[in-house]
Amino acid sequence: MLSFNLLVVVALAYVLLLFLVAFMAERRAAEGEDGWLRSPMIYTLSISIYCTAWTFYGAVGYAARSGFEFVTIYLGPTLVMVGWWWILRRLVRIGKTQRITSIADLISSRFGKSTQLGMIVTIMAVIATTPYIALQLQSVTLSFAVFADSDGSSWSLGDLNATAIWVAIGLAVFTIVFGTRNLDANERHHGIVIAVAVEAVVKLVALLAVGIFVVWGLAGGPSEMLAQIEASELSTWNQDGGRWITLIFLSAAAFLCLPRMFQVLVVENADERHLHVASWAFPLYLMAMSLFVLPIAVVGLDLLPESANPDLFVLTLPLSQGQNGLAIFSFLGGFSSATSMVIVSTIALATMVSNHIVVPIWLSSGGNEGAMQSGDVRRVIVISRRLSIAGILALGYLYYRLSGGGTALAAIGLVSFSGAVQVLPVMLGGIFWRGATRVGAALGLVTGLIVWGWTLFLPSIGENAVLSAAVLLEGPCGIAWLRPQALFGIEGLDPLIHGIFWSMLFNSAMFFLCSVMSFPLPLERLQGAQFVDVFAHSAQSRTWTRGTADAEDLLIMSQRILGSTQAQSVFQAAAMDQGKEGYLPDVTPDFVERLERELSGSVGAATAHAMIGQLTQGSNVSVEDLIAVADEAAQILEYSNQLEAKSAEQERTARALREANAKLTEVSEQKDAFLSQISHELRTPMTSIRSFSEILRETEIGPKDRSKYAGIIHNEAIRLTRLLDDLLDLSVLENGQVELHQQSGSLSELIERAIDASGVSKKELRIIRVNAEEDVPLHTDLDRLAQVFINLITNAAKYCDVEEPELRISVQAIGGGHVVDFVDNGAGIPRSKQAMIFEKFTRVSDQSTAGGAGLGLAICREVMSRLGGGITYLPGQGGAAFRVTLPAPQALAAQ
Amino acid sequence: MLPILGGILWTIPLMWRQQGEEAVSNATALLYIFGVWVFVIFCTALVSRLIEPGSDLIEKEGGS
Repeated sequence: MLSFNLLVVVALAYVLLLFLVAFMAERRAAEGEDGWLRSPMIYTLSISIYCTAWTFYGAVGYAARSGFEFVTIYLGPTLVMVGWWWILRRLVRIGKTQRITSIADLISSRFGKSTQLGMIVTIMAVIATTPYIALQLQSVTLSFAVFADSDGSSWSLGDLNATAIWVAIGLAVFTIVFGTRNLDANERHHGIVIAVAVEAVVKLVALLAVGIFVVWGLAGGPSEMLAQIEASELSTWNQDGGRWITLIFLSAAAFLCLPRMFQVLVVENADERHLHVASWAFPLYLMAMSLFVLPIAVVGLDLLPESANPDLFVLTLPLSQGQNGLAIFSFLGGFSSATSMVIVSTIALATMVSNHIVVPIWLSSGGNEGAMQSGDVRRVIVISRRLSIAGILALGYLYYRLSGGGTALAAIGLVSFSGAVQVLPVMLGGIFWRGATRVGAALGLVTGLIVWGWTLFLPSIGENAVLSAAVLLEGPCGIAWLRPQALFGIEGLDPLIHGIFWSMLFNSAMFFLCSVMSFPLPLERLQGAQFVDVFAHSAQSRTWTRGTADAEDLLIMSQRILGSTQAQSVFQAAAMDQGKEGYLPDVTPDFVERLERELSGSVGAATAHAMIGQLTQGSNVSVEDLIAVADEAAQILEYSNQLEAKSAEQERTARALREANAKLTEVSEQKDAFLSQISHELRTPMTSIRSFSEILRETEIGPKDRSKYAGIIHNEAIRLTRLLDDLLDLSVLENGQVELHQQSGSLSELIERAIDASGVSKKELRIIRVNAEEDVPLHTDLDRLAQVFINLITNAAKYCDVEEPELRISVQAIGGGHVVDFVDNGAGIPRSKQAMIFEKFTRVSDQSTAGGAGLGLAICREVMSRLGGGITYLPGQGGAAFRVTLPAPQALAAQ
Repeated sequence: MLPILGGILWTIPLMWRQQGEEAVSNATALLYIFGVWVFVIFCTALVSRLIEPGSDLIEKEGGS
């Protein structure tokens, strides 16, 4: 007999292996070697989370109970995949252009980025998925129990519950570790995807192995197998047409609407062309999965005692034949199918809960007015996502306990499916019909949810759990026409068909009627047109026309959501596209649109729209945009789009030229000013040196005065020398004649040295060093680098104009290199001066008290570019902030 | 076009006789259903291969 402990060890080893695989995949992806992670085969395998434990164990039970009906669950998705051209391609394209994060986001985004719709869909999805997660827990628990039984120890209910809890906790840990690493849902979860793909292979091979064993090992070959099917009690074709068609429809719809399917089909899709391969490979996978279901059922019914649960034939059949290895393998297959489904489902749901419920509530409850810190929104989202993962699994466990774990697997699965498909009318209406409106969508969804809950969900929990048997039989308060399984007194229908029929009918009818009767908002129209004509409108029309926001405010807000590193890189890229340097692009409608899309990849369309709306205020959809949407204008639109693209290009060039021109003019003015200033500054010390030396030469003076005058001459000479040194240094640097002395050292020592050398006392400037990442080995000209640091520190001491000046020095690793940020708490540098500060002879303030000639930062910039690094001004940090980019390691290696 | 064809082929079994001597056996049904399945998969693979080469072609054929 098979030892139960051995099974536990095998299961744990398998889980460990999955962790390892996921971890390796994340590592490879982080190193940029993710080419093979994006192959169409991995995509196809990840879609196979459609096949859950319900497929793995339940299908055989289903076949044993109702013959061929089980196959409908796979025919539906096959039809959808085969017809990918019509629906899937459209969904994937929309998902890509609008940066959709979940099915709730799709609906909310389509209907004018409505927060309420997102909430409704999220709540529906959570309710509909809960039974499904419970089902997975149940199947894993039952399969453990089978082995415990065969080991001789019979399990009590307590053991089952304990197993279920441990499984739930393990899944929560895995999902939290690998599922909440990237905030941007558009980034693929490589670890998870690869783990799911591995599990897909395991479950397929396991089921095939059991099937082959049954057909060739037990039945004696395909023809004998067919003969045995003929002879069995499942021998004749006996299908109810209504159920057959309803179930094909149901599974096809669920394939599109289940949150986890949407996650893998649309969100995790890396390339639209993967659909080409998946369109035939996934049906093939489904066919392979269902090929041996009927044989296993027939042989199981034949060989095993009548009391055996047909849902577990896949396990019990090999066990009863003494094939322990095969049984363990098949257990792993079932385990895989359960876990992969739960992991992806919880991720999808957690994204929805955090983006559509937690963040809107947090924002409206005043979370937005508190301290504005970079990354604070991001933290809220990550925490809420982790909590939702745990919460959803807890809900699943609760349902498992409530339902008593008794119902047949297939029945629970179908209830869950029919809940998920309530989204179908609104989703299809949203992507094919422009007339659909937010009011219609909301009412349709709520109606569908209520009817489904009443006719299918509540009865499924079990008699007397929520609804008493009396209510089922006689209706609530004796109102017969409200009986959950016979609405309007129409009896004799199969409960499932009954529930689906009424819920879909009411749902679609409400959606259609209310859409026709209500009037869409401008934003809804716009989004509607973009969704429906996603292939025609490749160039998006604009939602933001009168942008009044300041780029710096937008940057501060984006930093809160995306974290400072990512936000800065987005802004920098946008600025570069506009032909500008630095971190602040012009606030054009295009840029705001792009930013909103970027943010919606993290927090969902509705929230992103609302947050940007706060800053840009009156910005809205203009009449021109609406006209552009109209069908008749499509031709003109196309032409004007081309013109617009051209004029945008010209505008960009003009902007760059204008800026260059302004810079030149200012530089030349400053140069003139500097020339007069430099002559002045040279003359002042010269004059005093000359007059004092004359005094010394001509008059008889006491030794005390003589030494005083000599001191003055000496000081003035030093000032002159320093000025000339700076000038000389700069010209040497600019001409590239400088010699660099390569040395090795560590960054933290260098910063230490610079602080000491700057001679700034603690009272003048409090220096805070953040982050322990200072331990970076350097190989460059350390003296020159120290010169830059010293300059920045003394600048902060000189110009920081608050009572208790502070300077924060933090080191971060960004994109393979390191940067050092110097941020003080002063007033910062005004926007108008930011472009100029690195130019020679520039002074921000006119006060000459500071005594510099305006060369320090220019020297810093030259030094850094000679060293192969850079220095930039970092806006939006609260004070003056400079970012020094250290020379890249590759450049060092080459030297 | 293919989903419709598949849909029709898979509903044909509903018209088979369900009772009596001439009822179709499940073994035949098994062969039939999986036969259609293989056929549909084959066609899809063929179609996908045909529209694979240029993505321009895909744009032009849009909605066909």
